[in-house]
Amino acid sequence: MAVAVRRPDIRWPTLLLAGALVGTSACAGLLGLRPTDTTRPFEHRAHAEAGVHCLSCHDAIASAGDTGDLHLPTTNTCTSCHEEPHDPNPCGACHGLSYTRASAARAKATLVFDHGAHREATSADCVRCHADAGSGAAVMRPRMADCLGCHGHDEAFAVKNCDSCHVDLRGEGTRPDDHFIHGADFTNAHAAAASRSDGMCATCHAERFCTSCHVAGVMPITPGRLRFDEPRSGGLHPAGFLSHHAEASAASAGLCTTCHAPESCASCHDRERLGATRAEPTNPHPPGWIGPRGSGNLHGQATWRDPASCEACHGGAGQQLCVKCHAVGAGGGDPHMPGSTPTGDRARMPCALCHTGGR
Amino acid sequence: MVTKAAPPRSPRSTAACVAALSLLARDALAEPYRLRIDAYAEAPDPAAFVMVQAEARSDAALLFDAEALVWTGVGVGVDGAPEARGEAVIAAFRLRDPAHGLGLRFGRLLYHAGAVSPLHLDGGVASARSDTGTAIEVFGGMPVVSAFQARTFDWVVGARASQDIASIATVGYSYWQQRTDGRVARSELGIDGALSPHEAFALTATAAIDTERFGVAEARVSALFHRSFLRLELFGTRRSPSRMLPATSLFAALGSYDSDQVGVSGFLRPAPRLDLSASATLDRVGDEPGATQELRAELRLDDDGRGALGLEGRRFSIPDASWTGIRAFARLPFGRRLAGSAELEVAVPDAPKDRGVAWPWALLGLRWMPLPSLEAAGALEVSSSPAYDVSFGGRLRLSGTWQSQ
Repeated sequence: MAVAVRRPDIRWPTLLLAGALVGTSACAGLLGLRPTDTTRPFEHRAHAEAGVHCLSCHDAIASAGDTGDLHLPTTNTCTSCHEEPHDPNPCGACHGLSYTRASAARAKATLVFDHGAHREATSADCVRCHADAGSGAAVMRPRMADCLGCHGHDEAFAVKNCDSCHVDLRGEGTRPDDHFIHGADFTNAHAAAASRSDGMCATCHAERFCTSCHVAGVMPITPGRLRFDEPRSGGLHPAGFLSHHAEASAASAGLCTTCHAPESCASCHDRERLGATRAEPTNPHPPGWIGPRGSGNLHGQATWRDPASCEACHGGAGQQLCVKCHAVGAGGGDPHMPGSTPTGDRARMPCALCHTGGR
Repeated sequence: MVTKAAPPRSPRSTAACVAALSLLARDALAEPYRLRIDAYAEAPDPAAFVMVQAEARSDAALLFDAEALVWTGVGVGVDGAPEARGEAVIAAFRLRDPAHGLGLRFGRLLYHAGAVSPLHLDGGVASARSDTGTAIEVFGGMPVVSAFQARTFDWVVGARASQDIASIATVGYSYWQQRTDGRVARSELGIDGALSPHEAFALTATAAIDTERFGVAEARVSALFHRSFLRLELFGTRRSPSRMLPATSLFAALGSYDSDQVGVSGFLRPAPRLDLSASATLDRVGDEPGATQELRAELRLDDDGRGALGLEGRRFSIPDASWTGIRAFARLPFGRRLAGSAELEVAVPDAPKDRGVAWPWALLGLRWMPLPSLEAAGALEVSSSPAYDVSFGGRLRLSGTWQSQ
């Protein structure tokens, strides 16, 4: 009897893998896997092998100090040896990457650093810090870890004193991606990280950054609102949030009042005539929200479930809306959750709103 | 609610304050400073404001910096008439002596001490940290009343103490108490802890106890694994509405349901210019379950990230409040001084309730930087929402930055 042996179907995984490889190769430039810059890293390695010392070209380093000019060689520096250049254009147009120079300029402006002061300590051995010089790397700037090899900064870190090296870390705009990525759900999750030490946040963020969410102003100014021209930065509210803010409000119990004063809801809803007693589809409350005793009366359950979202619109003087029916002696009945035993002085707020005279 | 106007301050004490600040400011003005002014307007709901941010810093052994954020503007009042609005959000001064671990902040500031709720107050914070990892902060002041309204006679005091343990853990305790008319209106006790036995792993937990209406106001736990290209976090939150309600609100006395959330979030950078992130949560609001999911991808078009394309999808599943949304965005530089942006989002509610089956929203923006210190941006938006079939709007921003060299 012939036994039919089914060969495993490997076509799809193979095709998928091949497709992924071809796609990645084709998009390598777009994904940043292959530099698209037509310039090339400067030929440091070739110069070192030819016995040219770093200071032959970077001769201004020793005297530049912390605030002097950037120490990059000019075309004149090159032509002092390469007397007959192969191209009349400035050497830096092709030799050396533009973003490397921009990075060096940014570092010069944002870091407290003096090459001259390091010359003696390193015996003018530049490679001790610029270890990538021999490998033809695009960026020569040492990483922070290289600095910390000699300059311990435990003490500075402990007191959050970055000023000894960083001119203005908060204004620098450096993203510490290597140790603190604010990705995914960080807006919701940042509280735990901030609790560990508020000083950690303050090393990069000014106080006003926190206030854009944590202060219930009459017009919250979140970074997303102000920088509408940078959509990639996202925001607490995704674009078009106004359309589905009712759903979002119900999904996040009371979160709106973290930033928004009750007036911000009331001013809009009053102006658009979106009151609770109207029958328009844009009414924020569903049918059966308010009714006589014994009917559905959905608002009671909703209030118990999420009192903060009620407070968002009906806080302050709006509470009189509730008191009208639920005051002691009125027809609205006991509004407290079944089984709950509110404590507090009935003669004081907020109990006194319904318990007039402490009854 | 009975409120009292603030007692008038004596001219003598005001003059003393101004003199002290002038002395500090005199040194600061000679040192690095930064000033930024933003003017913003939007329509058709007319709103406009001018925002001023200022920072100054001295480089002496005793570090000093100042920060201010003030805005004024025009909005629409409840009756539809123009209404002047404004706020002094921050006017804070900070003195630090890093060598001795001492610090002092005062003015109008936002203070957050460990696990307890952040406070916006007019007051001061003094802090000290020892070489052994012990840190103590004490603070006090009056809670800020927004929009320049009259201040009620409230005050708040509190403290936080923390201890580092073997450079891998921190434990902190915090407490604050707010009084109104001399009586305790609100108080919270917080406990926070963090453990990081390896640079790639961190475990953090916080809990805030409402000691006035005894119960957990908020609790969080988070476990984080991170490398340069990968971040994975598991988190859980328990939150009581009492955390967000003023003690004088009627709603504070009515309900006590909590909301819980557990979730996972992740970040992956599979290529230097490509970021992927995702999060998913399981929720409980009252006794009803829910869930949310979010996926996001961003591709930077150059090494500096000046241009970018992005796509994200969201799903919120909460009873009576479920929706699905997708959003695409792009930012494209046109030369060094010009950049354009576009956003498109469509949200689809599970229960339209005659409010339209989908709510699209789109924005086209343009930014121009005639000078490195000056930029102007404008945008046109169009949307269809539960309230309108079609709505057009516009936004405009002018920003200027000045700083010492």
